[in-house]
Amino acid sequence: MGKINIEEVWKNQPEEQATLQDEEINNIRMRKSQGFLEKLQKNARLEHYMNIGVSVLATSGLLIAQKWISAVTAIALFLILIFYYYNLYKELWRLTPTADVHEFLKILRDKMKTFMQRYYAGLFFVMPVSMTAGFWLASGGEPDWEKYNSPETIGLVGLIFAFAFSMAYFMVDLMYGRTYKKLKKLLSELDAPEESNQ
Amino acid sequence: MSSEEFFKTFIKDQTGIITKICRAYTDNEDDFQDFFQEVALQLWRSYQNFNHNSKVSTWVYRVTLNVCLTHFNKQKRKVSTVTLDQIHFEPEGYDDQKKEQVDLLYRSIRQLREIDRAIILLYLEEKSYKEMAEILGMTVTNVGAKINRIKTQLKTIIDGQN
Repeated sequence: MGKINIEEVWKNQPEEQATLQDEEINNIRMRKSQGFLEKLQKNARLEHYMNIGVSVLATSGLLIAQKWISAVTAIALFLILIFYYYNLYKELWRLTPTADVHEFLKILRDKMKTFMQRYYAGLFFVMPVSMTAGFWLASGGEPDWEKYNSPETIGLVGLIFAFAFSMAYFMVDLMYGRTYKKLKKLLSELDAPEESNQ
Repeated sequence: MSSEEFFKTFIKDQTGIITKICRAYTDNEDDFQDFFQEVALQLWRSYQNFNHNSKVSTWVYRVTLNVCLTHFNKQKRKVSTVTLDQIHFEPEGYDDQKKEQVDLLYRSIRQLREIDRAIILLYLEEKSYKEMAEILGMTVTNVGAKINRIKTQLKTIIDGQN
């Protein structure tokens, strides 16, 4: 094949004809989105509902146990959490890919960053607290610290923490890390200035 | 005319543009179907809120490019894709040489970086630099500078395959 003129080839390519049937267009309108934005929206919604469920259960537990101060504190904290997720969820559902490419990629990247930061915050704060609380509860609220004060036990606990952190970090990276890097790469390609001698 | 009826006509009118862009982002038939349907779905969803602040073509290009650029899990999800037998077909008078040239052009475009593909597609669609800047969210100067570099790169890829 000889040299081709890209503009000519593009211009003269036969147009795909509009032969879609009405029923097929209807089916498309009704299908579930497979897009990345939808995935983020669904995750936020799922977490929002889970927060509500956990809040109700935990608060009910504290009220039944008549731990009034703990219950009031828990209600206040859960309300903040639920309100935060409600806003995040609403904000995500308002997003559509109608913004210009740069803005859309930037919004997605920022949302991803928020998601990841939140998971990492949970990872480094909530997880140690939960594990310690679990240990404390398992010992009936009166752990025998002397019993655990040996290098072997401390090493074992350290190993468990390290393993749990690594797994959680790996899961967050698996869920969002690659996509976040891809978004960053696309944005840097868009932002990259061209050399003036070209 | 109801919004559903309008949308049917609208999608039929836009099939050409959507198909061209989707083809530049995948050569896999399943992915193509997935891309096309996702674009159509997002156009439908955002159509309700389209406020005519920009041209219709700008809106269509933005949605199509945004969907194609962020469709990350290609070739992994084949669930709930409606089978569309009618999109892909070769119109009459599509001779072998022409087909070969068009295939070569798409193959070469797919070797460019994803953002560069978006830019060259808009250039080939004869969009003005101003409209390209509006679609991509770049400055007009940067659009112009990038086009020169991408055209040269595309021609080198084509020559290498020729």
